[in-house]
Amino acid sequence: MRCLIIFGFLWMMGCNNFTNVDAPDSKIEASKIYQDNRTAMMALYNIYGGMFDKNASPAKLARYTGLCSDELELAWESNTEGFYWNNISSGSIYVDSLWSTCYLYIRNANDVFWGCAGSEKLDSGIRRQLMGEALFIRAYWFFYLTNLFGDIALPTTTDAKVNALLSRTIQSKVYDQIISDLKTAVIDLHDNYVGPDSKSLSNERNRPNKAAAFALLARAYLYKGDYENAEFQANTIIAMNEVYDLVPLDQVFLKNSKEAIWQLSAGTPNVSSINTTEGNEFIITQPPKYRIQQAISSYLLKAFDVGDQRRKHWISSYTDKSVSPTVTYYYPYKYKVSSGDDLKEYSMMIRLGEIYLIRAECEVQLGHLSAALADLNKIRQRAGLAAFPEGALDAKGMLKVILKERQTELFTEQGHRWFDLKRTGTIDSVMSIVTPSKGGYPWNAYRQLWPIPINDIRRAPNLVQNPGY
Amino acid sequence: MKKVLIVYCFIIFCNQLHAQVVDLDIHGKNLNEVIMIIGSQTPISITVDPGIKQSIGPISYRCYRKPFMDVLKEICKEELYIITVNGNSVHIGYKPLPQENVSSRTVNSVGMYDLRGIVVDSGNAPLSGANIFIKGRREKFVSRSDGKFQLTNVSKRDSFTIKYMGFKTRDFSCDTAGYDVINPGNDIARNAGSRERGTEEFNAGMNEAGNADSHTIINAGPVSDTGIAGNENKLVAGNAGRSDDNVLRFTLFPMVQQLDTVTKGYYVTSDRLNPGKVSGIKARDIQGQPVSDPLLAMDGRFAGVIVSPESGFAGSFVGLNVEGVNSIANGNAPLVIVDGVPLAMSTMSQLRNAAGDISSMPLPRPENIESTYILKDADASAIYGSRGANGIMLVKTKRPAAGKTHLSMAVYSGQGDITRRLKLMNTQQYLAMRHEALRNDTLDVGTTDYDLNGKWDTTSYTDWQKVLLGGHSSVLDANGSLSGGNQQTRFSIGGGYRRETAVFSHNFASTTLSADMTVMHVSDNKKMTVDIGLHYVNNDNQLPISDVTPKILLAPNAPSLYTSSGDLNWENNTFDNPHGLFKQRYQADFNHFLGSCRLTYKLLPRFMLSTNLGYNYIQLNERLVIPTSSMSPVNSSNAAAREHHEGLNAIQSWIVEPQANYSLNLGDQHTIDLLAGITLQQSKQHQNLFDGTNFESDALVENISMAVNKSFNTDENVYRYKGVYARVGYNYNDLIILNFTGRNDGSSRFSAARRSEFFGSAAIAWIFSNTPAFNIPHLSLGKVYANTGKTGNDQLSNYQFYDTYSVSTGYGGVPGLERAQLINYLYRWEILIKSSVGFELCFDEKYTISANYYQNHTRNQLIKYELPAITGYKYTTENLPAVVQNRGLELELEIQQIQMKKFRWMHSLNFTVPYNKLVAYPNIASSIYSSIYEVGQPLNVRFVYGFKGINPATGIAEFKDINDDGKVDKLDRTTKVIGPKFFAGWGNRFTYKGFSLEIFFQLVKQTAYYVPNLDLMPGAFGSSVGNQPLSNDRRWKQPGDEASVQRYAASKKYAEDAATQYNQSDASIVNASYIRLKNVSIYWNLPLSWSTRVKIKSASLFLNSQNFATWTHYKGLDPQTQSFHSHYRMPLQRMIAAGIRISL
Repeated sequence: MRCLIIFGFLWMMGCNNFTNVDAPDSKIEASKIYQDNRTAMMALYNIYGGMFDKNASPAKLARYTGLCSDELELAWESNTEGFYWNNISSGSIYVDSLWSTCYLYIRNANDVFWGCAGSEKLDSGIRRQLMGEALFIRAYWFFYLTNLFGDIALPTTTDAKVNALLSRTIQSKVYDQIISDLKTAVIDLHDNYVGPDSKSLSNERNRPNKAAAFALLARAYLYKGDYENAEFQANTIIAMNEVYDLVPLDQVFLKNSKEAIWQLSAGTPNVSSINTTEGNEFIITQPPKYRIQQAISSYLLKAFDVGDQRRKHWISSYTDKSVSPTVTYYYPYKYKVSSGDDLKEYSMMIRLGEIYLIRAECEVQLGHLSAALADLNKIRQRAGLAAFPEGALDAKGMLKVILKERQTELFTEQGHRWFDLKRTGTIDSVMSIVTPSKGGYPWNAYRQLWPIPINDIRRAPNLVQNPGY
Repeated sequence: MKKVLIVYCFIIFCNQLHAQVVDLDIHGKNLNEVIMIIGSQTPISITVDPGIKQSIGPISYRCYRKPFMDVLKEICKEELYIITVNGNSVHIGYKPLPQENVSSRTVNSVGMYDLRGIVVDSGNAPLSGANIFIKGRREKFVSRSDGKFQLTNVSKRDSFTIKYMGFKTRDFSCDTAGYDVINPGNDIARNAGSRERGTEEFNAGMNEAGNADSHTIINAGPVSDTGIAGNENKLVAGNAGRSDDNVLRFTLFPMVQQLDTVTKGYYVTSDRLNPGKVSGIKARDIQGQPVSDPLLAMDGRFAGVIVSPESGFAGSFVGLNVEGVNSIANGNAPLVIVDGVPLAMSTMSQLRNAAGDISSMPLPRPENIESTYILKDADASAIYGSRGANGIMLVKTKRPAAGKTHLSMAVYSGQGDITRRLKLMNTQQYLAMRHEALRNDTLDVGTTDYDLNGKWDTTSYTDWQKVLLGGHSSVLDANGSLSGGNQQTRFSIGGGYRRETAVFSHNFASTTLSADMTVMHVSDNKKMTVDIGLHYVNNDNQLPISDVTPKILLAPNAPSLYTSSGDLNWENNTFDNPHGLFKQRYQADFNHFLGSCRLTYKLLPRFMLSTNLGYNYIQLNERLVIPTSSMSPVNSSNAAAREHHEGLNAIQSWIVEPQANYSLNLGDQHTIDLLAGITLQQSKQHQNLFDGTNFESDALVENISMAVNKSFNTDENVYRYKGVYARVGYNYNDLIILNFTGRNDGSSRFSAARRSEFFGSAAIAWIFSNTPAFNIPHLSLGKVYANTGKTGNDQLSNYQFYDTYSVSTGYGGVPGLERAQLINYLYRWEILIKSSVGFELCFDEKYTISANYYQNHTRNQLIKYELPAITGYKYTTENLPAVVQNRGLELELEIQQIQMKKFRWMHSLNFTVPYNKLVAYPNIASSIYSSIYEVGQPLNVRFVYGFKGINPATGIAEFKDINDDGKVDKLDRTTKVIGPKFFAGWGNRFTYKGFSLEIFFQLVKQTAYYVPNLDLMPGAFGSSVGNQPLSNDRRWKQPGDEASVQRYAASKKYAEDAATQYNQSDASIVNASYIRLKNVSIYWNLPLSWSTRVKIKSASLFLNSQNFATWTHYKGLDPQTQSFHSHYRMPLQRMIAAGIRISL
């Protein structure tokens, strides 16, 4: 007995490693992630999954920008009045969550990019595809951030200590970064769409391929005003007419439609059983007071020409009979499925219709009016509108028509209208009428940039606020 | 329990007393009752040495006009007791054994001689280090290790005093005639050092278990025959048979009713020798409180300790804080140890329920607690190391006594209700307010103004407080235990049942079943002891998912709850029926097992090895079901509104603590105790959470597998802790006590580089009453002490330094992986520097006053350091040089027992003035805490707007623009302190014959948050809120009004921002001080003659009440649970219960 106790004592003394605890089984150690093709891919899928269900989902972007511009009206008072009245405060939790979520995607994209870059264990094809997609994602979100906030912090590494001290990079430099990222991505990305193994070919258009990078490049060049390059990228895509083509209005937003260049499919697992966030959040099925809802504004309704089939096919209405007199709300009906596990629709991120309109605009800017007219008419004809005859419009009129065409073609697709108003310089003239009519404050030019969230102004030592806020 | 009494004394007769005669005709009375009868017939007051009352009786005696002294002599067997008369008082005391001879002095020529004696306790064990003072002389004598002492040059007329820690001070005459002499033989020498600490601890438990009322001292107490190891100390006078070198024997009796021994971490000391302050409560204090959670019974009983129940639901979480908040971002929970096994004190509930969090501590059941001590000082914390940085609560469960098999049972049943009500508007007042609000906003009655537009009856009135909370809860509690055994092996088994319903419905109840078993054994050679305790508790708690309390603010003309056919009334979808909540059910099934085992082995007389082994398993199964029948019928086809969740949370932990103990005497005056040990502890948590949503029908919602959408989450974590510690205790002659503790702690919550940290403490006490210079009359103890130490806090989440990815939403059918957090490998322990000083004075062994001043600093605060969102991360864990200071003054006053004829009175008072301060926090302005804390202020602050008044023109509340930038925004807020300024507990126990009455008051001076506008601004309407408190203040009605209350408003348009700001202004910080009659307990012990007739040992009836009355100016429902958000919580109930306790 005596010996036992003494022995026990000595044994305890020897337990030096007792307090070493392995990482829990429910988590995977960081050092292993980029040593394995599968886990590396999962790190990338996490970003897409987040884009589907986090605070910067396609529907949220469409909604916030739509309320800001002349696309949407608030059907019921909610806490998003700040957007609607163009009176966003720097303390807005919606702006804060959107801002931080975008940077979360960028952080994760950087993580995948540098993780893959530093790994020698990955299959080289897969590694290139993952790195290409990571750069594409980063560029995509830099693009949105700079268009919403102007000059932005531009983190391109994974070192949080360095990134925390970033100051704002001016917008033209942001575009330079976007374009250089996309150019690299173009090289790395697969020509075709790849499946969940990031290698084999797939019919699913839910991951960016080379064409998606071209398309985003075209958009970036257009916004930057580099029309030649934009036109060149658009040409490349439009030339792939076996893969991409305009389809009838009701088929545009179906999953893997031929018009889609890149779509976002539902996350895994699809907990809330929805096809697309737009379908889920825009379709009105009950009186708006039961749910935060918005409807299409009268400005957008008026923008459609008589006979425009998009007015009929892409917009629907709901009449609230619980109030008297009854009120009819018009809502975006591009996506027809509100919820359901059976996936019929994917969120459209980039589509051929936009590319035609990009090319048309570039052609006008470069003086090729007839080529521009042809592209414009393609879109108009699909909408059941008469084609403009040759020579009916001068360059200025043409640009105006294209802007209106973008309004009716690309409405509630992630902020096109808001961005178009800004980049074409028409925002002040439009919003100084629209904002007061929405019940908001008098429009002020500084409102075209959203405020940097106050929390980050406080936390990041080198961030300064946008003027006016 | 018969006591072996060793007795002595001498008698002085007083003639005049002899004349007193009495008439008696008694049967089956005990001595106490006989004394009272005699006392009622004569002017004589009779006192009795402790222990004698219990050992005489039952007495049957009959006489007529007999001198009472003769009566007493006959009743008290003369050979055992001796009766001393002094003036009008008579004392019955122990009698010495028959004298053998008196040869212990050598008388010199002038009548001076040396007196030799030995100081022993009532068990005849020698007491070494007792202080002996001869009256009128400054020199001090000290008994040697064998208890012997020699007084030089005394005469017959001299007298002397013997003082010994924990024993009653006694005066003796130097006239040795009549003293009892024993042979000191070899036994005494051998036993002199036998009071090892470990044995004592064991004894203490064993002795006390026998008699819940006696606060016995382990230092060889008078009931030591019940203690196994205590037998060793017994020495029968003269048994050695040698007659040479005989000395006088002076017996000291231990003080009764005193919490003398304290277990300080891993060693036991006497309260008097402790260089710090330890307070405790005993079974007696707990059993009068009809509560479900033992923590609730501690409320107000300790200085420096705040008990904060989250809500008034049975089984809801009870917070415990000792001496303030030390850590800004990490845990502040004290270490709770039950029979040597640490309990997990975190909340375990994963699902939402009306109670908030579910308590994880219904174990042990309150009736089974023998004692609870709170350790706070640096010395005590150091021995428990970092785990005890935030204080330690030691809970000891009852241990059986040897003797006849003993069965005891207690049953009580009672009712609870909510005593405080808000003063709310009636229908008339409410409708007037609503119309005025609409007028103010120039609005017409709208389609959704159901209260006004005719959808709801504008003439009906319902007092929602009465309807929803006015009911009674019921409680039934039954428990029993069976114990017995012999000197070597003892056992007890026990069990309990308790059911407590909610005030609003008897269908929601917390039902607890518990069982426990203890076994103790000591080996034949008495070298080894085993003490095993097993406890199990099962609690089934049924609750609604959300608390119904906030619904008391329903409009007073809201529709009735049920239709005439008895169905829930939804009034055509206009009414958010609060009873719908009752269909949203939450159920917690809680299993808690605790097993402890303590082994001790005496290797050498002064060297002991011991091991604590403990195992603890806590499992919480939760279930939450929401059918659409609980909602307005508009949702009846909304499949997504139906939910079903199930959660499992289990913590399994074990602890192993080997320990070695050695005591060393260096000469007569110096004692050194050495202790070394190791603690190994592991705690493993496993969590599952199943979520099911979207059920096609209410019929399916009970089965989670029928959900259309299901998800499953699992998590697990392991925590390990290791401590290696050593302690040196030095005692100089019970005059100076020094303690040094050093330890090395390792915690798995830090990376290898930062894992272990050295901590330590030093403590000193000076017991000045043991010096001749301070030999003040009546002062039986005078002590000053100081201690300081360094310890650490590791109460943060596990794995913070592990760089990991966890499963997230994925894509294309494949799950995703996301980096969990930004890793900092180098964060380290939070460091606490604790120190305290204090003194303790005790007069006549009855009146104790102690004061303690503490000052604790927590440095190196481990904080979730907020990162800019542009990094993509929210936080990283980082040590900041932020410092939190807690200091405070604690006073305790105790009156042991005051006997006034038939009355006995005991009294205790504790009083605490805490102060907490954030001393430093670099760059707080750019941290997440910028609007939560302020440097230089307590952590308990609120940032509030300064309320300026009501603008007479607009009727809108206005606030101070502190920074003069033309707008009132968050930057204009200033801090306002909330929380207690001081708090006190005041207890009294009165005993009269078989009755006893205990009254305990709690007093808290504090400010608290109170939402003046309740849920909605006055005048607005919501489907489940809208009523407002009746206010006597003047409200704004028309331009020009000088008002103190903002105008009524129905729409958000004008007044809402101001109403919201008003709720966040200094007007919302109110006085919430209260005095609460926390506990009233009346006991009536049935006379022995009754109980013996029905052949039971004892029986008592009792009536207990918790939270009986509250006096406060606080406007909310309860100043203790308050409401920190705009919602009210179920307040604490007043509980009144009556029951019976029987012992067979």
